[in-house]
Amino acid sequence: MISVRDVVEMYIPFPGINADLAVKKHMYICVEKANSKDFAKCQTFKPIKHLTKNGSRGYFLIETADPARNPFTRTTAIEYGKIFCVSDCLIERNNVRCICVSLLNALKKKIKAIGARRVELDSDNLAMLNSFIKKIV
Amino acid sequence: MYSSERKRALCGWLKKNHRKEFSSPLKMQKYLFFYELLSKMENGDAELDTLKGYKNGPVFSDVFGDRRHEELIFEKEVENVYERNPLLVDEERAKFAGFLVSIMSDQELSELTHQFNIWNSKSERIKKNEKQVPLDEKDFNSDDQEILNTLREAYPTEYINSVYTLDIGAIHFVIDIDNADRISEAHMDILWQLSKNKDLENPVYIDFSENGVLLVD
Repeated sequence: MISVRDVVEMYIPFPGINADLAVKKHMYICVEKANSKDFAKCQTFKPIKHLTKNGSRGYFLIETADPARNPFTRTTAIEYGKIFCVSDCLIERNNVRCICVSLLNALKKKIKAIGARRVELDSDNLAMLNSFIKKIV
Repeated sequence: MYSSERKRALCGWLKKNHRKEFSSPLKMQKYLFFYELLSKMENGDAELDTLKGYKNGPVFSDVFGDRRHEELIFEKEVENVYERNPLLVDEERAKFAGFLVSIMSDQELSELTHQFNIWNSKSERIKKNEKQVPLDEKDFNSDDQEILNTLREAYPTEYINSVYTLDIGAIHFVIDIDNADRISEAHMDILWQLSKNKDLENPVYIDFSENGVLLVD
């Protein structure tokens, strides 16, 4: 099963089952594992998307690729204004990629400071989109 | 000519290394802007006295005027000044500024420069159609430094040296130099089709999966 700091590639049904995020796989960092598993979304850094006000500048932590800190191959924007929460699911650990403790701490600090919006994902749809995720019945 | 030797040498560098970007007056101006701001941030040595605010972003008015009134002379002159005195240009800074203008469209570069307080603090006057609003070096603040730092960290020199850009329509694709030979004619057709997709965001990174499938990000 996955642990905090693991980086998971998955499809997520957000905002709905036909959304871009459900069609294109992205990386997500597991930032919390308590009642629910909480994830922060990662995407390749793009100046216009992540540095302009239209692109909600200020809600991304920009992290350069660094094997000592993260599994990214390019500079990556980690979104901390919105956190995806998964309940009632078992998520198999399908790779061994993770971020370092100091990056996790920096990210959690940002999430807390901003009072990130929590988005509950539909577990049926999530399990349907990803073979390594099983719903707990 | 009103432009300084330094500005002429910088333009000469761009002409030599990024001919396509040099051909766009807007890109050339944004390249100068990023170069001078980075220079200010790195060692306090910047030449921002002729910087003016236009709707499309910051513009060095002396360079703008020289190019506009005497384009052919300007093009020859900047080449000569750079050839004569290449040390007026900090190569690494120029590479960074040149790379930035090669991975975004004119419109995107305008939008990005609008985020800088040095332009934005005068935006009300600029939007009211006031012409040639002087921009003040003192308005370059810590937020501006943060934007510039993020860009600098995102695109270190080693990275810039390891990739090349491929422009198709308004899309700027970035590919590892090591992978360049793997782009076939069939791939080019795919990229051409992709370039019409309005959802793509510059720059678009191209890679290959382990089994040779073209990956677009």
